[in-house]
Order: sequence, then structure tokens, then C-alpha cells
Amino acid sequence: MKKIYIHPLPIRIWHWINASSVIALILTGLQIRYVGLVNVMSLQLTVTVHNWIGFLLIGNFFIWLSFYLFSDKIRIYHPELNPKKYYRDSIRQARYYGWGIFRGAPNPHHMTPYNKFNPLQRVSYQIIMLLVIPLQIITGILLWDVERFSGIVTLLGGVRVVDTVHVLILIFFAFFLFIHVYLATLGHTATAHIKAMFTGYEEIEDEKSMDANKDKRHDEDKDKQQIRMHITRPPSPLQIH
Amino acid sequence: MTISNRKDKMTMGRLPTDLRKLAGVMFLVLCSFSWLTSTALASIPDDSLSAEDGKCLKCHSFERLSTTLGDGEKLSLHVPGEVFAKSVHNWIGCASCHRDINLNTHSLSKNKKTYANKRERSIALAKICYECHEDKSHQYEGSIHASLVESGNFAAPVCTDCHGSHTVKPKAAYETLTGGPCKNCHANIFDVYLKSMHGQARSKLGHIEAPVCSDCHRAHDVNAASVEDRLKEACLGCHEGAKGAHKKWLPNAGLHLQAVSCAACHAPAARRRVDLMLFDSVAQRPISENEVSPRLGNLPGPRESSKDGLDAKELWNLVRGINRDGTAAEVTLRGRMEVVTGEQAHQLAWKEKALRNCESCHSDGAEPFQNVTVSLIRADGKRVSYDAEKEVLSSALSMNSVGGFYALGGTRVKLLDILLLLAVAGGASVPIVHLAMRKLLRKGK
Repeated sequence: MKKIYIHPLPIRIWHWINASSVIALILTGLQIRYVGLVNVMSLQLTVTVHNWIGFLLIGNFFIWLSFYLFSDKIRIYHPELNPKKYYRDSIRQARYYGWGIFRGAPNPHHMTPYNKFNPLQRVSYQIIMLLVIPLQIITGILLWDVERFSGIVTLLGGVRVVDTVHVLILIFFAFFLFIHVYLATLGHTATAHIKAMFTGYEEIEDEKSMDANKDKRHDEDKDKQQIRMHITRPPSPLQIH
Repeated sequence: MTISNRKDKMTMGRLPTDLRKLAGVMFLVLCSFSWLTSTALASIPDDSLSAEDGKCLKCHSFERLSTTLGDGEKLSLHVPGEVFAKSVHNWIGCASCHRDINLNTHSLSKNKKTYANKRERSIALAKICYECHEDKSHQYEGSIHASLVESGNFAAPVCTDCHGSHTVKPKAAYETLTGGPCKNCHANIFDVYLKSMHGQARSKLGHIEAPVCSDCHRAHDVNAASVEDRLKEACLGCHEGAKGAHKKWLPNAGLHLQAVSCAACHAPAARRRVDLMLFDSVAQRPISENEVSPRLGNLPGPRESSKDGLDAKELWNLVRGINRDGTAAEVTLRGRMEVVTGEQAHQLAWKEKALRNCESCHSDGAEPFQNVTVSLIRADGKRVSYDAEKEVLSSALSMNSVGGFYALGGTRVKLLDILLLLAVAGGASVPIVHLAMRKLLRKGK
């Protein structure tokens, strides 16, 4: 095992502020939406807290955006511009999560500082960070002061429409959080990726052990192939005689 | 020796005779003009009537003097002279208003103008008021009172119904706590007003700036208070700091002031409802009944007679149908929280008692959202309401038709609640199932 510095400090700071903001926003959002059914905080206080955390998340979003816009790390989202390979790798990754992982197969993605995400992570994080979060920020700002933005709110179909989009994204995040946290436990130990998000260093199998594993896998494959061949190959005439 | 002779001797002795005659005539003209003006001016503050008016009163002071109208009803022609003498119109005299009467032909039997009934006569004679009070007549013409008169409503007032015919008083006489003349028709509301903080401030605490009816509803351009934003403007006209005071504690204060009537919070004892008014979002005005009358045939009937309210689909079809009909207006439903009746709108309490608790509205099953109406403006300017099911506020089908009205917690779209439950259940079960598969299949291996 070797340690590789994968998560730079700004990203770690962004991640944990973002994580706590999103959780706090979901919880306060649920209190706002279900006031009367859930009565942990008064509505007035909850709305104020929700708004302030919302602005914190917006500021934090720009830390993330600035980091990737002004550093070469943006490459982690597009390590290779090869759609065919990307498609192939995505299928491979999905097959790993859907089947291979159950059989103890290794993760097909190998993390490097410039190829941090597997293909499925790459596409989902881009959709989330460039579409879902901005949409949630915009609808949140509109709902924060509906009168000030009444022109845009009316253009979009009214406050009910804006609120519905905001709630649909809340619903998406409520679902996503379970998946995100679960997938974070799929490192070589359950807490490996989570620890790495604090330290910045991911523990990765070094090349030797990777090669050893590869060889082992190769041998296993060869054995399996031979067995299969043995079963299917017709007996040679010499053996008959 | 006469005065003129003396003057001749003293000052005009050297003037030619013709010029002296002309000066004499001019002097007499000037004297008589100054006498005329002084008597006319003297008569304004005076309670006495002119000699001409006295001639009219010779007959019209008889209490039994009357005529029969077209409908057979007797109309008293008695004019109490002393009352007329005290009215603000005493100086203009009878003939100024009753100019259709020719004294030479005015007799008991002939040349009498006959009216079908008292109402027709009042409406006809009110036109005479307009000639001097043109500005007030214009204001009145746009009022709900005028619209009701036009629509044939017998109770709606014309000038004389409020001001009287021969008893017209100065303006200050209407700014009292007697409630007159509004109380004549709106007695219930006036009694509620007297008990309200406005009525109490005026009657018990002596705050003369506290409003009477006309301060909020205006005197001549009276309109249905809830139709436009006029009433709110009336409130904010006196309570200038109210907007800023709300902003200090109320999130989205501007939106609240738009979507919630002042009385909804400041009359805490009142029952509330949500009214969805058909509204032209381009012209920013309410839609009138005649603009959309073909579509109204599908409605279950006005509020008073309806049993089943409009459901979300009917409402959606109504708005979509009106917009499809190709009207120039872009019709939406403008939601507003109001109190249920006009009487309750006058139950205004002292500021400290106003609702400040957000949960009164923003909570599951809150009272204001249990009562929903859809309204539009009738041709006579009055609002007509149709009942709607309360579910229209929480249906996904209302996304378009009721897009402009939404209250956190109170009008949640139920479909989103189901989606949230599914998302949480799905989100939680994916890791559980996946983890179980990992354990089971590895064991099996």
C-alpha cells in the first residue's frame, strides 16, 4: 500500500463545508416544509438559519469553482477526451458496482492525482456541481426574496413552480446522500476514503502488489480457461488409440 | 338743497351739461351694483332665504302637499323651509336646482313632470348635482355605488341618498362617529367598526386622526375594498412605517403584504380564506365576468348556491380554456389571503394582538387554507366568488393555474411528499440491499 496525495486542501475544506451545509439545509428545509408535523425549531428561526447556511453554501461553491478554474486539477473531470473509452469504462465501472464487487473483483478504476474519479463519478459530479447545485442556488435566491425577484419568478411560472424545483432538488439530494455515503465506504476499508477526505492522502495498492494481484488474477483466468478448454476440447485421436 | 346740487356747485361747476348727466348716471349704477353685491354676499352665511324661495315655500311648506308617481306611490312635495335655510345650498335657492320648473306654467294640475317611481326621480335629479359638482360626479361614476345603480339595484345610493335633498350639510358634518350616512345601509359593519381599534381610538381616546368610513373607502369613488390594492394603500397611507416595521421581523415582508390582506393578521378573531382571483397578469388588473362569460357556464355556480366546489382539474381547464379562447389578457389566478366577510375585515385589533405567529398559516392543515374561493369582478364592479375545493392549493395540477400562490408548509404539493418518501426509502434501501448482496454472494463463494 502506498499513500498518494489526492485531495488538495481547498477541496477538502470545500467538501466538508459543503457536506455540513447540505445536511443542514436538508434538515432545515424539511423543518420549513413540514412545520406543524416537525416542530424542532420555530419557522421564523429556521428560515433565517436556512437562508444564512444557503449563503454559506453559495460562497463555498465559488471556492470549488475558483479552485478548478484556476488550477490544472480541472483535468480530473476530463483526464482523457475519448468518448469511446469513456463509454467503455463507464460500462465496466457499472458492471463492477452491479456484479463484480459481489464476486470480489477489483475496482477497475485506479486513482491518480489527475485521474481521481471513476467515469461514473465524473459524470455525476459534473451534473451535480454545474447543473443541480447552481439550479438550487438560483431557486433558493429567488425564494429568499420573492418580491425583489418577482419579475423572474413570474417569468418562471410563479412562486409555486420555483418552490417545486427547489423541493425536487432537495428530494434528489436526500436520495443522493445515502448513495454517496455508502459508496464512500467501499474503499479497501470502510473508512479509508472518509479518512482520506480529511488527510488528503488515499491509500492505494502499490504497483508490485497490483502486479501481483494482476498476475494472480491472470493465473486464475488462465486456469479457468484451461479447465474450460479441457471440458470442451474433443479428445485427440492419439488419446483414443 | 340736494346733495347732487351741492356737489354740482362744489366740484362740477365748470363741466359741460352732457358730461355732468353721464357722471350722474354712472354714480347711480355704481351705487346700485355695490348694494346688490353686498346683499348677495350677506346672504351666504345667513340662514334666511330669498324672496323667490319664499314664494316657492308658500305652497311647499304645506306638509300635506304631495303628488302621485307612476307606480301609484305618493311623493311628498313638502320642503321644510327652516331646514333648507340651514343647508349649505340655501344661498343658491330653489330655482337653481329645480330649473325645469317654469313659474308661469307651474300649477297644481298641468305641466307636472311625472316619474315612474321615487327611484327614477332621485336618479334623474342627481344629474343636476353633477353640473356644479363635476369632480365628485366623475369620482362617483367609477364607484361600486354607481355600478350598482346602473345594474338596477334599488338600494344603491345616488347623491341625495347620502346628502339628502334639501338638507345638504357641510363636509365636516359627515366626518363623525354617528356613522351617517354609510350606517344607513352598512349598519352591521359600522357597529363592528365602532368596537374595533379604529373606532375605539376615535370615540374613546379622542384620536381625531383615526379613520372613519370615508378615510379608507373614500367618499365618492367608493369601491369594493378587496377588489384592488386600494384598501391596502389606504392602510399604508396612514401607517407609513408599517412596511419597514414588517421587514424587521417578517421574512419576505413585501410578498406577505402583497398576498395577505392587512385584516388577515390584524383582525385575529376573524376567519380566513384564500381567494384566487382571475387576474390579467399583463395588464395587472382583475378579469371581469363579461370577458370570460362563455367559460363560466362550466362553473358549478356562484358561492352562495354551490355545493361542490371547483376541483384542481376544473380550475386548470378554466384558466387554460380562457387563455385558449384568444383573449388579449393573460389570465392567471392571483391568490390572496383574506378574511371571510366584510364585517370581519372591520374587526381590527390593537397592534399587540395581531397575529405574529408564522405557524398560524405556515403549518400542515392551517385554518386559512381550509376555505378557498375563486373570484372575478362582475359587470357592476362587485366581486363574485365561486367555491373551490381546498385541495386545489396542494394539487400538482395547480402548478400552472395557481402558480403565483404558495405558502410554505400550508399548501404543500402532496405529490412531492410522496416523491420525498420514495427517495428516502430508495436511498436507504440501495446501500442495505447492496451490502446484503456483498455479504451473501461472498459467503456463497
